[in-house]
Amino acid sequence: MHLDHDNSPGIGSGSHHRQGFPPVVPGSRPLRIGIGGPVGSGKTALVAALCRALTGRVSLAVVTNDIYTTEDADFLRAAGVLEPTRIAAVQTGCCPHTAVRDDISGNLDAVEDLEAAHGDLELVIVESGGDNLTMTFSRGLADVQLFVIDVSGGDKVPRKGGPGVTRSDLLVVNKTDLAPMVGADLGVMDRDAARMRPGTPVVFLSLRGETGAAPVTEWVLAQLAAWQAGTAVPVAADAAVALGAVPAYPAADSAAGPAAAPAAASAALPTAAG
Amino acid sequence: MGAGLLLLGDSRLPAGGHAHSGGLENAVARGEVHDLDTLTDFLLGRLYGSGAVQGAFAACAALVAGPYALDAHGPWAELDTELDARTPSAPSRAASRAQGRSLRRIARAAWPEEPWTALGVSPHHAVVLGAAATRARLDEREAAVLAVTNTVNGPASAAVKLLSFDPIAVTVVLAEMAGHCDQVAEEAADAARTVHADGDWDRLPAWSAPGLDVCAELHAREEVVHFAS
Repeated sequence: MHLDHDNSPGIGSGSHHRQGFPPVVPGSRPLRIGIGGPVGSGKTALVAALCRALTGRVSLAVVTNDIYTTEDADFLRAAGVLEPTRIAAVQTGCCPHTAVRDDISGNLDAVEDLEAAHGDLELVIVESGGDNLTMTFSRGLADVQLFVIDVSGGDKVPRKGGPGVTRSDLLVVNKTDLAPMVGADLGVMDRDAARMRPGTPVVFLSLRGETGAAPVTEWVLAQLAAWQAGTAVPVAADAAVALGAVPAYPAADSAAGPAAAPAAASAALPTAAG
Repeated sequence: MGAGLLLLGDSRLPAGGHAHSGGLENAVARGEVHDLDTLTDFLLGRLYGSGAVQGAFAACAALVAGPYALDAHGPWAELDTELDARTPSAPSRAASRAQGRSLRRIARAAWPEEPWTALGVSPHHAVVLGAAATRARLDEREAAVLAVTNTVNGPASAAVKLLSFDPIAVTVVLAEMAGHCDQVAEEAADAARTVHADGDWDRLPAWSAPGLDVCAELHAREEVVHFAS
């Protein structure tokens, strides 16, 4: 039975096109990078440093999700690195996490508006409001994401794990210059981070040091180059493939009444007999 | 009544609703809402002011959309204009359109063969909701129920976040209000049927709650806000 033509009841359209989940072709639109992390870990300072480092090399814009004020956006403007029309602030309704993961529509609107206003955009940075170690960006919002923690939260943070630590594409351990003062052992953090996220990169950073944000800037430029070359992993396409495993819904105006479940669904679901 | 109603009525529907308080944040900031009694009063104002109008427009949009395929040539522009005229506060219109844009994004993804562009890029939320309801196999009364309950559920959820209310106590307030919601939705759907039959779009209900317009205007002037509206 072809899933397009089955008559089982459903609510979605049954189209295989799934326009809401277009397999995003890397390079077909600006790269979207999410920057998340706990309150005070240095997300905004890192974004400002990235803006300074990338201005003149990359056409970029920033969406900030600060919980309380437009202070983050003002901070970036005051830094003089981005013109105000390239900064958008999103209100998150007391739930910074929701706005970047469960209901990304406010951020999507902001990103799409920036893309429409600046035809030359290559990179959009979405900075979340401060949250906890479970903060992750939806892949529907961010193509790649980095997670910022800092040493003053204690050197046990990496081994606590949480999706922010374990699933981000880059883990940034910030404020390493404070390590001696707060008694944080960077070796322990390095070892724990490597154990919690094998095969994915960790960067130790001190924006007050000589190198500043250089390691993160290089990582961002590498991500952007891969994106623009079309060699980045199209995550949304992965999602579409996964969704393809779900039996397609019939059209809403399907004339048929209740019918047997789609064969694919029956086959996919464990049965009592099985 | 079916899964479609629960789908579109679910507060977890990723259509941006979580970031809107429907004026409640400002009412809290000015001390007008501070306990369950004042919250109840606020929600009743939402229900009979905004809810009655949103319900009628959602129901009318459902009738315009039609049960089989979205009518691209329906009077979408007329509904848009009429709802603009019933939303005197510009920030309120912006909030409605922002949520409409988000809901349209979902509708386009779920029912991509339908001509959603006919509704415009940022249609009013109630209008998209009514149209999407028909795609979810709902009728005009159910579309009205969705729109009406949406006008109280969002602020109630915001109140839990802003005032640390017991969420169970707030749910009790909503439970006691459910009968009112059904009644308002029923009347909204009746009004929409009459208007749809005659094509007199300017005769859609025009209840108002000026206090909510004031909340929306003051909210938009605030420097420190948690919610988009």
